[in-house]
Amino acid sequence: MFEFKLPDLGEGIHEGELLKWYVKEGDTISEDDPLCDMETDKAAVTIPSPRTGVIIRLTGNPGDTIQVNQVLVVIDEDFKESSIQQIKTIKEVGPEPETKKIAAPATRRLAREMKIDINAVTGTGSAGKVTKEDLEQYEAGKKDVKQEEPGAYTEVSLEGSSNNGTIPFLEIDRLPDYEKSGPVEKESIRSLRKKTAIKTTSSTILVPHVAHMDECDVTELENLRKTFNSTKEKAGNLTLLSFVIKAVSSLLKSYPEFNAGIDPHKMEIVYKKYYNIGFAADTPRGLIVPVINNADQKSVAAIASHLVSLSNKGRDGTITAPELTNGTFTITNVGAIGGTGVVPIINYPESAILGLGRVIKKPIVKDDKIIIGLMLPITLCFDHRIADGVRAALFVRDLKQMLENPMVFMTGV
Amino acid sequence: MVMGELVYDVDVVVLGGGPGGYTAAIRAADLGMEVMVVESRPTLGGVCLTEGCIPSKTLINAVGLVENIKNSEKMGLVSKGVELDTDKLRQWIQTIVDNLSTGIATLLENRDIEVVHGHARFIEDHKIYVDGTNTNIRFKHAIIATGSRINELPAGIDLPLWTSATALKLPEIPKSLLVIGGGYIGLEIGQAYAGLGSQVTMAEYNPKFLSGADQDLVNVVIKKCQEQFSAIHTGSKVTGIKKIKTGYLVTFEKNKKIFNGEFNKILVATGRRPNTDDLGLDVLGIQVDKRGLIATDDQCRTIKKHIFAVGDITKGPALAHKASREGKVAAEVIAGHFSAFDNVAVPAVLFTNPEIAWTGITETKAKEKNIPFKKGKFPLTALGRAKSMGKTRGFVKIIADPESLLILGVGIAGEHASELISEGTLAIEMGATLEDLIVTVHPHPTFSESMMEAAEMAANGSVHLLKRKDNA
Ligand SMILES: Cc1cc2nc3c(=O)[nH]c(=O)nc-3n(C[C@H](O)[C@H](O)[C@H](O)COP(=O)(O)OP(=O)(O)OC[C@H]3O[C@@H](n4cnc5c(N)ncnc54)[C@H](O)[C@@H]3O)c2cc1C
Repeated sequence: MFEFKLPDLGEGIHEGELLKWYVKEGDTISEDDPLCDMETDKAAVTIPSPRTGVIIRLTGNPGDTIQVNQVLVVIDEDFKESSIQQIKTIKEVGPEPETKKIAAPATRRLAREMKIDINAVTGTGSAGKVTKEDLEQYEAGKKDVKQEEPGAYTEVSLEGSSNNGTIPFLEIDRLPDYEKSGPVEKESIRSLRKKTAIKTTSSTILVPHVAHMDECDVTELENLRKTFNSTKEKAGNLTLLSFVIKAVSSLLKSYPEFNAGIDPHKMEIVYKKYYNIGFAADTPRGLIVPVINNADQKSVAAIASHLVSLSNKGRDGTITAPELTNGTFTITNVGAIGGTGVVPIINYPESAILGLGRVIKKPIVKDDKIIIGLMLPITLCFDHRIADGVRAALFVRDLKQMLENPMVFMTGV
Repeated sequence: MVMGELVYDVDVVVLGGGPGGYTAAIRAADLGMEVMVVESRPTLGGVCLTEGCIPSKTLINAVGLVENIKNSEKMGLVSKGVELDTDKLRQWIQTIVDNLSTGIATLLENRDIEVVHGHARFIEDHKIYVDGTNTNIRFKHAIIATGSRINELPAGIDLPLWTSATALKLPEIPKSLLVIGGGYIGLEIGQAYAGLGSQVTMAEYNPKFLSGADQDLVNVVIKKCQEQFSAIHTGSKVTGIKKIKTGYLVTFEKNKKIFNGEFNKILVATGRRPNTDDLGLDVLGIQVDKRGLIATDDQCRTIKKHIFAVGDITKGPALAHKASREGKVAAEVIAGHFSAFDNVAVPAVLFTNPEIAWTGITETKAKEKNIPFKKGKFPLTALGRAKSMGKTRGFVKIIADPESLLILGVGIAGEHASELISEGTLAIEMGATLEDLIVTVHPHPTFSESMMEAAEMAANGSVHLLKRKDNA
């Protein structure tokens, strides 16, 4: 009997999501035949079978997260029909799961009176205890389900919040039956999509966002950039974003509240004294945020080359977990595609994010004359718990000044 | 119908007037049903009241008083020649028993519950016949609560040996007494007679006493027994009993070695068996298992929907409080309530000297079932109240889930263990964590503080022990 454990999938990856099995229990498999597809933070991989034999047991279902070194599959190499049967029975007879819920005697009695199987109820009390309120909640959910269909009504609960962990008025309504109106296609939410969903949901629910917007005239910056790129053949890749990252990382030193985070349990604001700037990058698998560590200590050219290599790695799926973690501030640049502005969601648990729109030529008034300006729309979204609007206005003003007078900040004044 | 035959029609008939039966009857009547009780003894209260819990605890209390007085000399108590008048004690026990029994009769009477005295048997699905009274009772529901009786002596032994029932009547204080069987009944009565002045010898077939219980608890009692008893023979089998002039000549076998002993009296405390063999259960199609127990679900219902069974005749500990709780459940279920015997913890108490008690899961069971746990053990030597009363033998231990810190079990050896254990039972039933016990204020100076201390020990080390256990 061979127990195949999820192998090390590369640097820093300690788990993966099971996407699909190519086999089922009882199937015969040959060495190197595909066993399953797994997806990690980095990429999707097909894992081949290390042995030839009969699949005795698969340990997870698509959607499950499997840890490195966790048994993935049990393969019997010198199989006989009987051994499958044997394993199946052992599995069925195996230790019964301890599912008994903890609840006070009166609550247990109430559950019976309400004809609720208490073991099916999620307990919100200390140590997972089921309370009278949990039963009432469960009952309410059950009623709606009865009238309509599964998934009808859920109250979203948030760990760590008071008020019994639920948000008042937050109810998730049942979806209409779209199929009645026309053909639909369904796709389950998983891997990167799921991660993005979780992150953005928690960020929007937990963080009071405020957006502060402006436009910068980047004519001079563009000229500078073009000059750089034409003179240095090799580094012909300085992008607008690399300048912005440079500017932001040095500006953050004067605005610690935008390079911070909140620890609500300790009632503390954590100011980070390192400046790791993440940038949103689109990849075939979805949105990732590679991080340029210590951007404040890097030259624009170094930042630019990091931008390129990280983007490439992101695209081909070779980016590693450390390259995607420990950011302190994020910049998202949708300008390459278009848009007069963007109101991004803070990359939780950071405290601010900068959104860049499309640079376009606009008529602007300068010294009472209408001239053509090359305008970059910028938006700073910040956590109002940590900072007030004035600080954001000042930050944006300073940033605008830096980007409009690049020679000043580039020479380190 | 034969002349003089009586036929009753009731909602519920209860067979047996012990703690299971009378509690069920009272509850059923309070819930609006017409109820009858059949009891073969002339009085109510069952084994518990007539020859079990109540007389034994009354005796043990009196004996304990004598010991307490004798032990109080160092506190300045002057007591020369403290004696127990056994005639008076016997009367006192009887008074208590009669009093309580009359009390139960009154409780039933007040609810218009008719009691018929005689042996009941099922003769039809919905009918019982009560021997000797020529009474038939037709019923909608029946609750069987016929309890248990002392195991008969092996065939061939036809000697007037004592049972627990005999011993509790205090027929005499023998100079020497052999107790066969080291279960809780044997230990309790053995110690009581030792306190009354008998030279007690204990013979137990198993190598260990109370093998299901945690041995650290049991050892506290055994240590005391070693001081009180003339001899303790574990792993010993009684192979022969011969009547001699002074009493009995008993042959034992231990490790293939034979030895003898002479005793004035012998108490046989080798267990009890359920009263299910003469009930007409076959008429109902209800079967008993090899121990004679009736299978029930958590609503105390047998395989027949209208027949319920409670108390010593069902699985679980043969204890009065388990019987009475089941009695209530059965009555409530019959009345259409959504009741169930879903208790997580049923406390076990030994009124030995010192007392021991446990509730929830035992350490032994946790180890056997590979249930992870965290343990805190607080010795009474570290407790102010225990010291001031000179009762420092024993300890309180609490075992808890290492992750959630939910209290899983409590074991107590020492003074007041029988009273203290209820806090543990409530904690377990309520799903309390160690923290809940720790932050609950316990009055000072009392034995109850030891519960809080043990919880603290389990969590991180108690403030009243010299060494703090850092990662207990
Ligand atoms: C010495 C001793 C000490 C004990 N100490 C304790 C203690 O400290 N704590 C504790 O919890 N438990 C103790 N017990 C156990 C306790 O007594 C029993 O668990 C309890 O009495 C069980 O209650 P019950 O209602 O099931 O049955 P019982 O109390 O046995 O009552 C059953 C009744 O049914 C009657 N009966 C039987 N068959 C019929 C029939 N066919 N028709 C009519 N009537 C019938 C019997 O006469 C009896 O009165 C002790 C027992 C003994 C012997």
